[in-house]
Amino acid sequence: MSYKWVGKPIIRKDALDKATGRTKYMTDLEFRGMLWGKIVRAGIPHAKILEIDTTEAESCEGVVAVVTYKDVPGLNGYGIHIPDQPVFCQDKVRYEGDAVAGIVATSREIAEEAAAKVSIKYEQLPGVFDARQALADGAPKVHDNGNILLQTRVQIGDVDAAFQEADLIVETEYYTPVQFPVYLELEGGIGEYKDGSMTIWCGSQYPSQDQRQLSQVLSLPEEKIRIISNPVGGAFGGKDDLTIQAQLAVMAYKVGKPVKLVNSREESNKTSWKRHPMFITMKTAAKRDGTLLANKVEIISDTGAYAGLGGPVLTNTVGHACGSYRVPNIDLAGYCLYTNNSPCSAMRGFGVPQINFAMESQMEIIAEKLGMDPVEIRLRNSLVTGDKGPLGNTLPMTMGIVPTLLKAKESNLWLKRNDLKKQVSRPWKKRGVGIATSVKGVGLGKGIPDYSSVEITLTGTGEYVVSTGCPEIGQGNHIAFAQMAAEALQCPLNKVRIIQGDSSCTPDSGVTAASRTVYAVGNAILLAAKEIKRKIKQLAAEHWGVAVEELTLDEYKVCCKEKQVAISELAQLLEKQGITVKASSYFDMPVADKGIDGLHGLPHILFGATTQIALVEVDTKTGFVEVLESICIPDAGKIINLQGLEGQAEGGTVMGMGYAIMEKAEIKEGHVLTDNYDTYLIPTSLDTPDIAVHPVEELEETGPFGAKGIAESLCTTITSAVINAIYDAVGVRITHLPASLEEVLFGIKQGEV
Amino acid sequence: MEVAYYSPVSWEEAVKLLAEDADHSKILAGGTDLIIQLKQKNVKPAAIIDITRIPGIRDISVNSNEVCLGSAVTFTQVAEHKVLRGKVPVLTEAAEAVGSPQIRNRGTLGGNIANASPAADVVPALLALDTLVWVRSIRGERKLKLEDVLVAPGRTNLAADEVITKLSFQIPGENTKSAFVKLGRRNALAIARMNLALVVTFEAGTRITEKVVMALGAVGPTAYLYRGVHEALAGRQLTDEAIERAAVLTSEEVAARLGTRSTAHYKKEAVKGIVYEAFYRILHSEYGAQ
Amino acid sequence: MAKYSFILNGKRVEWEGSPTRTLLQVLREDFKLTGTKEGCGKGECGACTVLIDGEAVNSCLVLIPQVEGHEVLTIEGLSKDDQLDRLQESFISEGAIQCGYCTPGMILSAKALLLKNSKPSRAEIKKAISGNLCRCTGYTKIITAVEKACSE
Repeated sequence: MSYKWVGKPIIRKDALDKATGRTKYMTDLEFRGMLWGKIVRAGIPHAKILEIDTTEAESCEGVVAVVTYKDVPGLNGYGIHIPDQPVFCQDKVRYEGDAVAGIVATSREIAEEAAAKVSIKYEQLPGVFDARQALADGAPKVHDNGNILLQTRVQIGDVDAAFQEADLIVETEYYTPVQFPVYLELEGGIGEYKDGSMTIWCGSQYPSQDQRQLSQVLSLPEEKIRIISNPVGGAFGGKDDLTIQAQLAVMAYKVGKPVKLVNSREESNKTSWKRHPMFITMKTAAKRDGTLLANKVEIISDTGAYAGLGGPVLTNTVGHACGSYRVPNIDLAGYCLYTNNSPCSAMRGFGVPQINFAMESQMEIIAEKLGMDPVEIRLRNSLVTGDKGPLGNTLPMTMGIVPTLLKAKESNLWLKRNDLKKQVSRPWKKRGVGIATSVKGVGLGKGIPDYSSVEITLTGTGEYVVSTGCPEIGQGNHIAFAQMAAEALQCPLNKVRIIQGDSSCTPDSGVTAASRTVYAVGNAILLAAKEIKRKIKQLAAEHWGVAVEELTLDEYKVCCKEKQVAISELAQLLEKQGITVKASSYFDMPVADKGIDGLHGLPHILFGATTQIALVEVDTKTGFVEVLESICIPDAGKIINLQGLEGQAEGGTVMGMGYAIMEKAEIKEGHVLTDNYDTYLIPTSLDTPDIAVHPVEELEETGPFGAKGIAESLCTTITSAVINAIYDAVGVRITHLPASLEEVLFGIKQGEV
Repeated sequence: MEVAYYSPVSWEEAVKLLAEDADHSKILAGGTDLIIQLKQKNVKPAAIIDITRIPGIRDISVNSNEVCLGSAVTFTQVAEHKVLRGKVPVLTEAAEAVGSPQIRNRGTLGGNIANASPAADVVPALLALDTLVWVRSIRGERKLKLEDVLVAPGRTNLAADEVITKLSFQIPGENTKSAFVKLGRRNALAIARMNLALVVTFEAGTRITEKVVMALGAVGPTAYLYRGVHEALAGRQLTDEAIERAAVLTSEEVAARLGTRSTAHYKKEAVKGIVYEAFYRILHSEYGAQ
Repeated sequence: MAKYSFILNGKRVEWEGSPTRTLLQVLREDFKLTGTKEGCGKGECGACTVLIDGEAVNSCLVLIPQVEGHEVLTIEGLSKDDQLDRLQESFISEGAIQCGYCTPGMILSAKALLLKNSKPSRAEIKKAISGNLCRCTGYTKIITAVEKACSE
């Protein structure tokens, strides 16, 4: 199929303004007469609030208001899944970042000074900071109902029988640490309450959801709340649920003037939604020929003080527990626990990077013990279209695992790995090459509403305005939307304008998350485009008094035999008559034929797949690991914009590499010690390997132009590839991430004994 | 309270301003550390004395046997100085290892010493070059060995009314080679887990070492000179065995220095790696004597 | 309160206020030049990078009196009369921009490099932007964009 716009090298429309500094992010906005807000945070992880005294803060010159729980007009709680996080705490604080009060003042400095003058008396409570301890009897209770947010169990087949007949059983304990999202734009924005309506300008991944949550908090009807959240300076899942919007809204509501509030990086590192740390025990059985027989998995996840999306994340971890493989017998147990740590929620990969690391490590261990090639064992077990997935549902859509593995097998990095390994930069350094593969479900999974609406309007200038609630968070969905819209509308690209992330004028297109927007919004664009084309033809037919069938529509004009009218002319004509040509669509994500009782968000049937290879060099004397080269082989279905896909792959590679070897939060008794980027380290340009991106394109017929979604799989696979490469280099099997200097060096020393 | 900000244009003026309220004044050179402390309200000075407008404070002078560096010479100036790169790579490599280009463009040698961070990158290099620190106050001028300046994290032997004006050291002879090695958790923007400066003088035309000067950073309250390697290696061939011996001795030294600290276990082992790297670079260096 | 004068994007400007205000605050809040971003406030992310006399600095770690008499260039001053700098062009064409929050600082760090070295190697480019964190791009296209800007 040849396309005019889809798959073509088109430059992002937002790049010019971003390159010149003209783009206004929500935290760049400033209004006349604007006040500044500051949140007073608990600073201690678990305590009863005895008294909140705001008098001294209120008496500071320049302080306009001090708000507390008393000022929350509606529900004093938020959280997409379970609204258990207080906007301002009333009787108890459950982690150090909890908001207790808010200062509104005439300047940022005054607000900060006054914040220190709110006097809060606490009775300290014993805390719980480890998910396994939170599960134990007698552990301090974070919430009245106890510490278990979600407990799940999925059993299919008979694992015990499978372990009996297996030739090999591998059982390993893994630990994956918390990971910070590290979006560069801090959480913040402006709130304004005026004429009974609240407007919030704040970077977010899902404005319609924010609108619903704030409607509860403020006790205002949804139509009285407007959320503007585009563009966003990075999110990675961390701006899926509310960040500071609820506190900001209460402050703005109280003072009736615009209030600006921006977290400091220290506040951000303490309060941002993070990737869940997990303890994972995996017991995997295989036959001598490498065929997987059973997987018994226990996952203990720490969601911190509040639910966030901890439940759905755990469910997704369970759903992806067997990775890319057919496993006939499974027993998957998961626990998501509350602790007094900083809350975790969505982060790119949504529970999959953790379990993929475990499963892909298991595959390597099994391959080695059976003397099998790492690619061959994966190919033998890989899921293909039509297979029954481990959760018992049929997989009717394209599965890119095998094609990406086959391409990896033929890559230079893999074929020449033995030569590359010899070229060490120092005699005492060692090199290794590792491979891994992953799938990540696209969309929210069975049992969670997952839909997308799009509106297309033809303006009087002949321009199509395509509006979607999904914001642009950096990944470039706006240009993919524009390309798909131009293709579907058969119009020039410059006749398409994309409007995103403004709840007053963009429809609910679902969340910008779960690798879903190209597929879900793309499909909605196709539906709306079809509808608006029908309407244009119909209006033209009426205009000429002919039958619709006699008309044709091309790039610029509507034709009827020898008559023709430019679309822009027609639009102008209709505008004069007061007719707006507009079409809306609604697209429901397809779901699995079979679900699992009591579990929402499982299974998935649409997957992005990635196989990745990494070349590392390990300093055997210091444990320092350098990732030198990587090749990323994704299957995203039809590629709408190759540059965009490559950018996601390169960024995902570096993010997943950071998770593998570098990113290490220090959290002591609930206190985040790594509260800025001098201590929470992510890779710099000098740590970044050469990355090659070689996609395969398995066209998915339900996808727009054959596209799927891939953003999360792209940061998942590399972690395991790096860890497997370290093993290849020095024989150290890292089971606890990250592979820090200490972990690697002690591993090497242990091996020498 | 408003902070007074002064930009003196002579040392006389600077030390006079400083003497007026030395305990409540802060010297500003690059500002890369001081401004963070101001923001975090760790320091609340009444006066900030910006010394960077004093003539000559950014000068680097190299004559036949001595290098003289103004105290506000930046890391970038050092890192990009071609003559220094040829004569004292240990110093240019250390300057290059500091934080990031932005920090290197502002951060200064004098500031690095005055801050007395145990993990400062340039300090071990200057120690290994036997640097003299020139300080001034209204009471006069004096010079100290750098080794005698460093006391503890954040503490020096300088009086509150004293300010560093310049640094000087002798240029090593033609048979001397040097290297600086930093071990961080990443390749840029890293705080040293450990760092090491090594200056080795060979007997002309041989691999026999005459003198081995080693300085270690981030393995104790201050960077310091470790003399054990010189004692073991001087007068001998720099063989693979000698390097291993140096690594083991340094490891023992680090273990003794760190005692029961939680980092000891790792650092005493990993220091061998940076010793190896330093000797490797000295033996394969493109600069200095062949 | 004191008065300071410096060159901002080619024009002499005067500013009056507290000497402990940082250049970043003054640029964003007083001159409304919001292309300079704040990411960490302590010189660890490079989002606030501007050029002072052609050298890249973290404007969050510069007090306003320090720029007295010096030349400050922000992203807004890089393109002249709407004529983009070659780095801006190549960042756009090479897909080096995603969320864009690091972009102004990243471009200015690259600019500082090219002012000193018109034909940098890939390794030199990596080093020049090593004080600028980016979480979106994995740096790869940024490095390529800088290469491209000096290849023509």
